[in-house]
Amino acid sequence: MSFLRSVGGPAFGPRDRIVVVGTGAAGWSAAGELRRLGFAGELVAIGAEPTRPYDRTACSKGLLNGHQKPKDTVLDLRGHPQVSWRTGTRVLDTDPYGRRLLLDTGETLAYDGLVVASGTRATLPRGWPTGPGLHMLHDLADARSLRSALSGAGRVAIVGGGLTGCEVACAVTAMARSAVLVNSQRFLMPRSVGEPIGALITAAHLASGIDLRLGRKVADAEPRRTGWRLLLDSGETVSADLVVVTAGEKPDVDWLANTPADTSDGVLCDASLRVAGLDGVVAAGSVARWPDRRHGTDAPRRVGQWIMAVEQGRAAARTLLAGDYAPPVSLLPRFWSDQNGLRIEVCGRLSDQADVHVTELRPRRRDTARAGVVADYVEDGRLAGVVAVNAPRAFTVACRTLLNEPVPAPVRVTIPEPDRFEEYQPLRLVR
Amino acid sequence: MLRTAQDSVHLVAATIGFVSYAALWGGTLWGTVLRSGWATSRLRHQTVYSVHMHVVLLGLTLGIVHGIVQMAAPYGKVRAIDVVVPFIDRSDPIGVGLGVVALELMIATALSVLVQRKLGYARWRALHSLGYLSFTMVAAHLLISGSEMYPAPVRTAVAGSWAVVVLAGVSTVAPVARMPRAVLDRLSPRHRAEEVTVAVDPGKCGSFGFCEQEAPGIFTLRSDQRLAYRSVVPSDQAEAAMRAAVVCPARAIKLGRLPATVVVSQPGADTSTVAPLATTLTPHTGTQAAVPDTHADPHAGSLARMAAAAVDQGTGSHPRPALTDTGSFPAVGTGPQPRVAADAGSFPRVGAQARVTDTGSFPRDGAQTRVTDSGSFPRVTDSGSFPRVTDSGSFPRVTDSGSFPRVTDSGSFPRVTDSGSFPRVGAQPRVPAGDPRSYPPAGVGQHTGPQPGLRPVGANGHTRPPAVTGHGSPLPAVGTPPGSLPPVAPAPANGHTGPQPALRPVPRPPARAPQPGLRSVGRRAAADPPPEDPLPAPDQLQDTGRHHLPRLRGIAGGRS
Repeated sequence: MSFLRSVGGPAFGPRDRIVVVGTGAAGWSAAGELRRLGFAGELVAIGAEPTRPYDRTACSKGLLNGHQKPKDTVLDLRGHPQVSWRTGTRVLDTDPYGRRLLLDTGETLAYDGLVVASGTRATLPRGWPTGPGLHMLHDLADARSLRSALSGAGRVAIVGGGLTGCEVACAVTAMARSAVLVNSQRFLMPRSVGEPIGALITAAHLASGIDLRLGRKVADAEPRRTGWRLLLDSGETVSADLVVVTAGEKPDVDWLANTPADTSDGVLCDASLRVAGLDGVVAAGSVARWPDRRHGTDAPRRVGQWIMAVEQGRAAARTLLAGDYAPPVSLLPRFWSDQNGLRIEVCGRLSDQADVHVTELRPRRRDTARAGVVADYVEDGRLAGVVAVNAPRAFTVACRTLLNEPVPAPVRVTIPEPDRFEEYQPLRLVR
Repeated sequence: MLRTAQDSVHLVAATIGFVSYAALWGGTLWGTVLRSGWATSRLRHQTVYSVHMHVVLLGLTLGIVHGIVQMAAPYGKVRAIDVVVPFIDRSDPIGVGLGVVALELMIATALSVLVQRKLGYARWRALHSLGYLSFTMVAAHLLISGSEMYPAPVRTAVAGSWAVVVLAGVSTVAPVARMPRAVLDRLSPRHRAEEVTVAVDPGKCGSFGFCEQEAPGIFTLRSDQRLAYRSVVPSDQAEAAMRAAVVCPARAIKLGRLPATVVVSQPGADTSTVAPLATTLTPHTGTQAAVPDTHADPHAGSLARMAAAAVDQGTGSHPRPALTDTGSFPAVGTGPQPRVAADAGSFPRVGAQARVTDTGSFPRDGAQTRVTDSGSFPRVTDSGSFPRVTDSGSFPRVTDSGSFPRVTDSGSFPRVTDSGSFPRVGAQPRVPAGDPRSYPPAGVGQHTGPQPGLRPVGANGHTRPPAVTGHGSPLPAVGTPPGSLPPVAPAPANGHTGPQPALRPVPRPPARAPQPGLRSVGRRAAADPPPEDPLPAPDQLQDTGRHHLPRLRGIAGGRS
């Protein structure tokens, strides 16, 4: 590897092995991009889930309401020749010096290059009891079990009014079940779409029959003989056959705990998605925390979006093969949601300091969100982000403007001090 | 002629029955149109849907009336129970029974619309396709017990109308609908390698417009919120099309005929230093990742076999099976690491899965090869040496002379100038070796100069990815064994600078210009401003789109 690099070649040759940990969108696109860029060595993709790479966004959309079957969500592997997919395998520990991974099967797997794309895990809020009828929604297995549980349920309580929570509520109402949504904020999807559009969407969901409990928190959850009873902090109770908790997720970085990498919130990376403190390791997907000047700040942050994960996977693959000369990675966050006929599209950054210009496409209609509305977020006189509901043409124009914008200069991430390396302990089994 | 009362009643009943059949025929056929999204470029989805519903309901109502009127005939043979319970009629059990079953089945199918949400879409869809079965029974009922069916033209008309419905229903099922294109693909291999087909499912497309952000030359979301797209794009735009398919929120874009790149050497070349044959099938253009694809390409295995045969002819040595050196592993944790031993060999990597699992003990002994630099972290410090090579004295390195095929090695392919004949592989169009076409650099580790002996197909006009050009230096071949690096002529950093006759200028239409041959998919929103761009006349569009009233469609991708 070093020899090839010293003569100006790619960092990895046909004798090297690159391991991709994670078979989500980021791992899938990284593996494909490595092959596309001509990496001819061995390529191993390790995924904790037992399924082949699939479209995770379908878990809260088509899979729940039955429009898609699991086989419809399988991702195309035609661009991934000669990749060993080791699904159903979890990485337990990493030896950054010997460049080895310890798998839960007891094997060790040596690597020359590593792509960290292990993604996130859904977590329950602290103190919640578990039991039948309590669901989280993160992967295909969750979606399957929730779907089968929905067939026998009449009333479903959803805790958390973010993007996933709203999509689940819409899927539940589309299946002629009643949905109760508990959200701690006064409007839905505060982080995803911002306040002006969030309020309009909240009104649209109220009108479509979703029972919204806004500004409330769940104080206590109690499993009953049939179903669950939630006690809210306002004193009211919600009884439901099923509870779906979409209240948080946590980066899956336990397997990097014994490395010098900063895993306090995801994996800290430099501007080129190289993991800070580890050589030959890049990260992509919702686990990667990296500084992108498109965010407007130098602070590294994580983004958990499908398109972003795919683009990060490609960028990480390019960085890995480019070795020491990788350009910084700057990507435009984009995502969408389809909720009861509301086509919500977001791109760019939606900061609190920005001026927001809201344009209604049909001003006389009372259902503003359904009739089409666009919110432009303007910072320092420049367009920084766009939120659109049922206005795809306007959104596409604005988004192409943002995509063609020049990217600001990159930032540097300070690598941790070397003395941390001396504290390294030999690997042990983490069971 | 004076009719009896029985005759009159029968005349009325028969007339109603015929009108009912006609309505059911039209309604069923319209249902096929609704499902396949044929009419939706000119009519709103909701209009198509309500026409289907009302026509079928009319036919059903007349069918019920037809059954009741049969009982009104004085001295009639049909009892009340005969029009409810099938196959107990005394005079015509089969004919009447089929009619009764068909009517009840149709009523059940129609009522299932009311519980569509409860059932779930897929189950309801399966149930609803029973409509074809019940229509078949109605036609059989008409042919068996219809009293006016003696003239041949009438019988032909009934049978023909039934055949039309069945044909329309079957031919619009997705696998059948794809067949003509698949057959054409098989018949025209030349086009297969040079074009990519794009198909947007009109039932799924939500007109989000993300595809236009990725591939504005292929997709255009028009001002009336309908999507226009090119159904056939040249292979140099395949990458953009693939990106669009990945980001499509509705997953409505399907790509076909992804370009295949086949790199074949010629027999008689110096096979001792070059990879005799490497194949690749990647959907991206301009890449020649030297990895045979056993998943996607059914010929890959045979190509590998041919590679082995080519070596046999050339050097007389047998290719080493992929896994032979795994048998020489030392005891666990004691000797040289299997990882290193396996690495040192240059055997074909195809299917060498055993390398994945390293059975060595964990953690390893510190004195072993791969870990030798563990004291000098970070690893960049030892970048001057190549540990696998320089350490080779400390363990029994498998010294392969490189005389057997290394399939993964095509990056190190020297310029083979032999222009003799070479085996035709697959159905790829053959480019003569003397072809003045030369290729721009395709990817990491690819040759940057002309490669007369190589035959990449569909790699025209692709630019090098930016991350790779960032090196600022020519890329040598990937995977060249250090000792056998062929002299690589220095190439300019940005690849090929000479004339590139193979570069096909992509006919990009000027923005906002009419684009003949576009397909259109999409919805029409009433209050949107009128299109500001002149677009092709409706008859130039292959319209498969659908129109959308957001209020009336509650489900993503909306086929409700």
